[in-house]
Amino acid sequence: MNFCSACGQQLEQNAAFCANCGKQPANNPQTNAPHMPHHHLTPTPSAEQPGQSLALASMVLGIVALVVSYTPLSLFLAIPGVVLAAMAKRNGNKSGMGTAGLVCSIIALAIGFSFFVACSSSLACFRPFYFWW
Amino acid sequence: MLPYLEIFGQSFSTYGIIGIAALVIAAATASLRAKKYNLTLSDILLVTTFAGGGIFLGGSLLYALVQLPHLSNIIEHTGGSFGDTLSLLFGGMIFYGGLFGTLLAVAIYAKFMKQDIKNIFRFVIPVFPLAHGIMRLGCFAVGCCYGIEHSTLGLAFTNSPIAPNDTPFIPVQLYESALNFAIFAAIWAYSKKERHPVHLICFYAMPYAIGRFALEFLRGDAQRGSIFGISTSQFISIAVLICCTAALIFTKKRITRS
Repeated sequence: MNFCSACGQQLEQNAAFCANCGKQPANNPQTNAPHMPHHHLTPTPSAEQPGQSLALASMVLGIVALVVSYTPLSLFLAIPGVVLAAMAKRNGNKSGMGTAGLVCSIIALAIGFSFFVACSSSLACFRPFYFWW
Repeated sequence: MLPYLEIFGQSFSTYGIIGIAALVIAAATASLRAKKYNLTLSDILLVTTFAGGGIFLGGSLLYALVQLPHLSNIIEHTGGSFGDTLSLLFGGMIFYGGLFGTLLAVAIYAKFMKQDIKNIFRFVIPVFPLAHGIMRLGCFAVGCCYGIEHSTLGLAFTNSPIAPNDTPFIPVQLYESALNFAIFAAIWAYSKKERHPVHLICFYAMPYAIGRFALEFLRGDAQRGSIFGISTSQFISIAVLICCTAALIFTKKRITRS
């Protein structure tokens, strides 16, 4: 059992900081890293990644967009998929789910773009050609 | 030369495929320096997507803006069909619109993701001429942006949906591609050291504007607008040169002050 070096309060097994005075115990391995993000200081290290629901939504949108990438619907799913992945990343999400959502959305976006925006006039597309001035 | 590509029995516009290829190649080249700017894979993917969206939206919007005065002609041509009118109105892109759109989109990205805006610019701008050079090859493939008629230097299109076929035109798209690749080689070496983003933009935009101004005289595609006897792109080229000079002076003053 550990005790706080500042106030003497008894500490829990893996406590990142003292519940009484807030000081970080010197022998806690978690405190060795500088600039600890706030969520790592909470006593429950198994906490979810931030923005996990955004990452999940992005992955779902990305996968559905990939599945329907032969219809124009893919563009309307893939663009929010990319934006949600960006929002998850912005909230500090580093999970593979966010990256998977991003990659799926981008691939669906590229396929949808080639099919429905940059397609030949033989298909029902939005724009027959491009002129790049 | 090759306006459509057959892939799995579907025909795609070569232009669109080359556009995507240009983005991928540019992103892959830029990511050689990803470590230097502390960018992860998802950063690179997001920046590339934003930059691509910026090129597309910026280029298309400026094109539509230039087409607006001819809206009545377009409606007459399409017989009032809303979809056809829209697809003709947004039927092309203007490079300068794409450039401004990319810079804006990348700035919005950096602001939104709370990343260092200068570093993101240092990452993106050097590969922009590379992407532009590859996209011009797409122009050559589909036959847009063609040059004036010339019997010895000219190349004739055979199945272009845009350029008149079997007439030898100067392949000005390839010249412009070469100009962009040359600028890319120079800016890639120049940006090895840490440079101010304004310097990087001007390093690309100024030589390009001069080259573009000259190459416009070789352009033969007639349907583009002109102001005071010079083409819209020549007009923008002059504006870009003036803006770059002003930005360089302003940046120099700010650097010496701080």
